[in-house]
Amino acid sequence: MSKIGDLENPMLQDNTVSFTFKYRNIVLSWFYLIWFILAGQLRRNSLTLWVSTILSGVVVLWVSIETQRDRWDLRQRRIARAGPTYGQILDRAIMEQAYAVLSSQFPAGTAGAVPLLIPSTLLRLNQIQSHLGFMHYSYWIMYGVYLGFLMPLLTLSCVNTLIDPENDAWVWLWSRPLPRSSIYLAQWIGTLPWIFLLNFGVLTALALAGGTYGRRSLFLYSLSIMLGIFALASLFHFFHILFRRPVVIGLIYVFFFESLVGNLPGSVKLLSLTFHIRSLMYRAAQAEGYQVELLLFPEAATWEAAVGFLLFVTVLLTLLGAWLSSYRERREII
Amino acid sequence: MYNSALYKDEPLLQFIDVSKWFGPILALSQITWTFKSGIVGLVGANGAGKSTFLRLAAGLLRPTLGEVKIAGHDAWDWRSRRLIGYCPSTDAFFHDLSGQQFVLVMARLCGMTRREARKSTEAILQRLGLHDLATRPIYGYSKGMRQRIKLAQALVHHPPLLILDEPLAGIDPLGRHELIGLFRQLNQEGHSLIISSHELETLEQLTDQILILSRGRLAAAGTIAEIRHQLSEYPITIRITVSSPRELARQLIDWPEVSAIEWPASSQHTSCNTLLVRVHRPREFFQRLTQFLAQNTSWDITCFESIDESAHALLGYILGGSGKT
Repeated sequence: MSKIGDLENPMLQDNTVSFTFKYRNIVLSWFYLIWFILAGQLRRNSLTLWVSTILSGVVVLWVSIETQRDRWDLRQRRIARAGPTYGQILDRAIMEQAYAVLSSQFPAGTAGAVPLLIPSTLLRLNQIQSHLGFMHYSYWIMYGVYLGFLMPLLTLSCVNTLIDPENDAWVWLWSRPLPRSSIYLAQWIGTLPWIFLLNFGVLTALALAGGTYGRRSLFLYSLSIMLGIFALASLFHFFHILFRRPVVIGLIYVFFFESLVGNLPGSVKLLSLTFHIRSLMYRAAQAEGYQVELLLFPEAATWEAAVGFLLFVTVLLTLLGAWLSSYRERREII
Repeated sequence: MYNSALYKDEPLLQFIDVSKWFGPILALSQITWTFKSGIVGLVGANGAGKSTFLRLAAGLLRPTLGEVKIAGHDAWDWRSRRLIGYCPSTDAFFHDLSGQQFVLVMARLCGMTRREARKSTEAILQRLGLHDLATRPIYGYSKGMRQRIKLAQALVHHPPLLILDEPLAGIDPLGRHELIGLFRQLNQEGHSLIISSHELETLEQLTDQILILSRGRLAAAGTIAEIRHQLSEYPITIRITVSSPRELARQLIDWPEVSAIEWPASSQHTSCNTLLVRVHRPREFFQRLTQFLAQNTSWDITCFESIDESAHALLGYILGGSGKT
């Protein structure tokens, strides 16, 4: 190499900046990593996220159409093709009940009290109708569509968008002087706000599309859903440590394990996360005085058991994932 | 710079009887090697285990058996990584970031404050000639620029040990020349470097310390001359230009260390007075030749050189092929 070449080489100018490593700066780095992960989500695209968002849009559209057609309270729906509607049956049942009460409590000569009783009977009729509509909405939209596939799918896609195992770029993180468990925890924390934003965004859209029932369900089930998101997010993060194809495993888990095991009789269903989330929603509705027997979920876990299980799963899987990540090689690097 | 007291009593990098399995595949087998300082070139054919070796050194992989130590600490321990700057061969980035943002993020994740990270990033980008292009997104970078940005992130926290996996791949001759100068300069500044490359001639320009891997085993380690010395039976070819070549050939052909003598085709580098002597026991040959020339001072030898004492020839011998990796 010529001397002139060396002198012209700009890389030989020693303009390095001195830097002394301090352990306290690791905490600073960790918070920076959380922010980096959080901000990174905005810049990323993923197929699963798009699919989830489109599916959510389709569901919201369907719910808004059903709401416009006033289908949730079932008044217009017929029991059989040529039979009466639910509304007619309900009206008849209520009127028969009112007549029976009138007959027994107001013998001849007390007819003056009837005008007082009729509004209360109508009020009761409206309340039953409203409960019936809300339970119908809860059963199909919240239990079936949202909890059955939207919520797990949104959570899974959000976790995957951020921690794409096929993205070799994560090698840069693993080569930094940060404890591996702290990187795992930073990923977990960094994805949570997006998971909540996406889930509650869809819930809000459903609330707006679902009218009165939608808004009621948003307020009534928020806490249950929040606890469920924590548990599901922990599980999907954990899959990223365990499996080379965590999305595939996640989808199999959502569509086979949860759908199948969560509805099995006996105690096997206690292993299902959605069973416990559903139980929480059931208990929340029950506590508000709704006719929860319409939800066809007689084996729901108690409020305490469901909360305990979801929190236990969240803490256990998060700690287990952090511990595993501290000694297992990352599959992206191998 | 890091305080060198952190590691002055310990070798910077140590492989102690290290083996690495990936399922049923043996990637590295019983490697024992110590590196204190300087520049060392890591060579070997594809699949020889170079990248696995470097990832173990960088603490990204754990040895199945044995120990890898950085300055006396387990390389897997996150604290060891403060002493390492790792430049992988893979070309994966957070493509949504610009070069400057990428290096800045890497600096912040090394524990630098925002101010320190900015200053260090500016300095390193300037040094690597990326300053003007640093605001462009990485996905728009050429291969050479990507290599430089990878190097920048490895250097940004001024680690004493740089582990560079194919850092010269895809870089044009001028850029390569600049990088080789940079590596030398970094070594003079106190950094130690492990560089893997297929460019053996380039590595020879940079360092005489070579580590040769073959099928997961450490085939040889040391300077090219040392390795040659260890392989005393390694055949070489010597070009001798002498005033009376036929006379000399007649003398040499009877020596047991000489296997053949040839006259090369004439070219601008050879004259009709040049002969090629193929030697299969170099050490004995040189001893005998020294005595011979001392006793017969009339030989007018104007050129005497080994024409294949290169890494390629050495590799060819060790790896059983041409030495081309």
